[in-house]
Amino acid sequence: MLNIDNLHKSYQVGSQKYEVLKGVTFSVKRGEFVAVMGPSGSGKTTLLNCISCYIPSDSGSITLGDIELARLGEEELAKVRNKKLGFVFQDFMLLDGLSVRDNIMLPRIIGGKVGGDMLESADRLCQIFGISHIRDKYPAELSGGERQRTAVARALINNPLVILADEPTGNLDSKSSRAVIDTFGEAKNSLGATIFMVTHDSYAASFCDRVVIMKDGVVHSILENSGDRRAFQDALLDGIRAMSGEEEVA
Amino acid sequence: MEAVKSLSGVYGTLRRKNLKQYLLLAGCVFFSVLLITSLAVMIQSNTVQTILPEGGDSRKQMYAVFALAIVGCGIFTTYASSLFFRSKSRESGILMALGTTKRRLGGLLLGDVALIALVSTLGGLLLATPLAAGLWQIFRLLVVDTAEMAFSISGSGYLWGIAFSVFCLAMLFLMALRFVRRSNIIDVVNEQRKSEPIRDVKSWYGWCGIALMLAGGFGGYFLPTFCVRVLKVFPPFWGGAVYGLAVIGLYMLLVYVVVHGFGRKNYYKNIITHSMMKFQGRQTVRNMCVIAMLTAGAYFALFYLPMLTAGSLYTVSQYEKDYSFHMRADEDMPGRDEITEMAAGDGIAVLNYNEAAVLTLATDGYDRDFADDGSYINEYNELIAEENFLSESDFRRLSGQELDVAPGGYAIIRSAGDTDSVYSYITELTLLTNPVTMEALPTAYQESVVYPQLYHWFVLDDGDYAALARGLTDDWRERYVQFDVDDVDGSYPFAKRLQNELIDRSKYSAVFENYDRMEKRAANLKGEEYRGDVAPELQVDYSQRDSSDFYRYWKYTPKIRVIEKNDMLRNSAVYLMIFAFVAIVCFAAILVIAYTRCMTIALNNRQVYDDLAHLGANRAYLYRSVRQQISKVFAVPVTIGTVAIFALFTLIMFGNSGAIEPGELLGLGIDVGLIAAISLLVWGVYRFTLKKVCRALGI
Repeated sequence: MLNIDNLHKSYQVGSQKYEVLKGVTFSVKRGEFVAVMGPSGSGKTTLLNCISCYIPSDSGSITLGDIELARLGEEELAKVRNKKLGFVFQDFMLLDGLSVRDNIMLPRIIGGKVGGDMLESADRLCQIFGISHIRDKYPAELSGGERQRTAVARALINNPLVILADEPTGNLDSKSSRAVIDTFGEAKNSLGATIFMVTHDSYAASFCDRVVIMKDGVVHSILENSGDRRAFQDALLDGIRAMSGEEEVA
Repeated sequence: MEAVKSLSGVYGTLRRKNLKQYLLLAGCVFFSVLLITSLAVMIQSNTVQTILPEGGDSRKQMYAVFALAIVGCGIFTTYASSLFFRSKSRESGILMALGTTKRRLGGLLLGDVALIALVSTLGGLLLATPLAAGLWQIFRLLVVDTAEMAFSISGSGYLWGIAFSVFCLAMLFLMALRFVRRSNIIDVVNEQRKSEPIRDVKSWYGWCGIALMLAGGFGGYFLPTFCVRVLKVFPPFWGGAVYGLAVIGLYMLLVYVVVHGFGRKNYYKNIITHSMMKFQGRQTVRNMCVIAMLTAGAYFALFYLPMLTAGSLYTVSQYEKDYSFHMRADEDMPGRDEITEMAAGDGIAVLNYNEAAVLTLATDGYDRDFADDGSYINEYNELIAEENFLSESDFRRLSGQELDVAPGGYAIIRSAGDTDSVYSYITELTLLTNPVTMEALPTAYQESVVYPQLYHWFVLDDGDYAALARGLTDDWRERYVQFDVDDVDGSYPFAKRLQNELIDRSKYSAVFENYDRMEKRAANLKGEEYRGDVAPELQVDYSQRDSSDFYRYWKYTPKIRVIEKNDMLRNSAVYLMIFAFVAIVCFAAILVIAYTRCMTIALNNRQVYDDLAHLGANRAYLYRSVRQQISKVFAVPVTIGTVAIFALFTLIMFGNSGAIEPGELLGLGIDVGLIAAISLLVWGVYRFTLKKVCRALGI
């Protein structure tokens, strides 16, 4: 579904060149829930931004389904963002002037698919994620958890190939975090969604099928969930400790 | 609730929700176009064009001030536009992140911008004439109402307004395109919450800024004089750039104030305020710089008029006679009987009538100038200028003062309060020549006497006067007349009639104030034409007799107290309106920039204030922190701009004569009053802003 092959990305600051991604390679299968973890500066967010088509990579390839993203022009990339990808951001990125339902429908509206089922799709997602009662409210009137569930619903309205989530629980309390993770689980199980999530939170990551651990711009290790969530969280913490000592443990 | 079903519908919904941002931008553009167009309509009106003739100094000054207004409004609208696009950045970033193409987003944004620009510029253009006419009428009602002040509109004023509207449109479109073209969505999304920290600076930075401001101000002002007097070279073309040091100094000082405040004494007490300001420092410093420069510009426009009127009013108050004039002896001028009869026709009695014969003689001196290669020329010339001379007995009779000029000497007539430095060059005379017979008489400076009516004339010993008068033809002689009237204030109609009579009867006297036949002779000897005969800006036109330029620059303008008093406002009315207008433009820009900057600081720091409240900061602490920031944005640049321009103005006044003269002191006093009134206005807006910011932060 999503293949990353030998991805490189660097930033130029003055005369200094900083290499952030140094040949990242891994893949995500259809219907899989994968997280990326790693200390600050390991390249997680840059990797997500490259996959999201927000910034171009220097070399290597990102393949989404059968689409090679590096070969696409600006217009095609916008189409990919709209039709093939769904986004969930740390600070929700909802438009304050639109109601919950309008926010959820936004990708459909942008894509021009405003046919008869748009409202039904939005209402169904509201129902699945337990936000039907607030669908006419505005973001400012919602709790953090409700906002993030709205954002997940928005990410799913176009049936994307992959949902890209950047620290989705970063601004939430533990109860809301759990609700959002459950939302991802629901999306995966009920709708067959593929989810790729960047997180610092080992608890959130412990619900994933696999976790890619990054360090200094490369994939340090990949851990698989055998089904026991507690054991997987312990394994994640051990893996992170082994990589970087006590720091970065959530 | 009805759901939106198209992107333009989404955009429309967002527009309605963010109406305040749209109205702010539209209001700023509307305000700028309105002010510039109404100012241009006023400037291009036939009334102003008649009162301020083409090529005259006053018209040049008016256009200089107009240029200042355009720059002020340009900065103002550009700043408002940048705020608008910043407010649009988050929603644009989200829409792009969710797959909206740049082309589509650009189309929607340009549509919005076009709507704002068209509505606001058209509104500004349409309301410009009513505003200009309204202000003009208020002015006539409250200040001066004469036939010359009838308002008339000229279409050419609208060309300026349309040109400025085109600038606003182009600027908005370019900024919109630049905004949309930004390739990195992350940057667009983060634009609104982008911090612009300013780097830390040492304590010398602030002092260095002050030193550079002083060096720029003093250096820029004194450099030309220093080059001429000390180095004896022509001032370099880059001389004006020295003032640039003051701008650099201003920036450095503001950086220091934003980073450290006014000292490190209460560092920990004010650490929150300082760190917040520092975090948004770059834009804050830039805004404060613009505010300081606009303050200086606004006050420059405002100070000009009190200086002009106070100086003139003071001069008039110094006159000892109600009426005086001088004319060439070969002109057919009204005599005592005719003047008395003319006055009687208006019910006015002429008192203390007196007249004297005046000689126009050639004086010697040094021709101090620069050659084309910039080298300093200091050549002695026996016939360098023409000056007017009275005999000592005539002076005594006219002035009632005792004066005894020794043979071979001369006295200078001056105003009270004038300093000797003003007269340094005319105390150097050593030779007086009869320009007809070329008979010369050695002379030497003896003393100066005060009699403002005969400002800048000379007095000779009776014997010398008689010797030099021999063979002098009427075209080199003048008749001087002075008298009082029984009802000065009631004699205005007579005064105007007399003035018009003098102008109508002048055949040979249509020359400007400094027209000099000795200079003409020197030019002709070199085979050149005299500038006074050919330069358009140096010609006097009798048909423009009601213009302020004619009044100021005609060589034979009579000194009539009632006219100078009554026409002072009329002659200055146009200046007053235009300069007041420019000041309004600049102050409005200052207040809007300061207000919006404060609101931006507040909104950017909302989270910090919430966190501080959670950490236990009470309302008083939060209020103090907000007040410190807001007061800094208002008070620091406005104070610096005010002090700097007032100091520069005082310096110019001092530099003109080597001392502050009584008329100038009066003008500076009025300026201080204006500063107090405007500071009160700024304080009012500061309090309003503080209240709004506190409300926005829930403090």
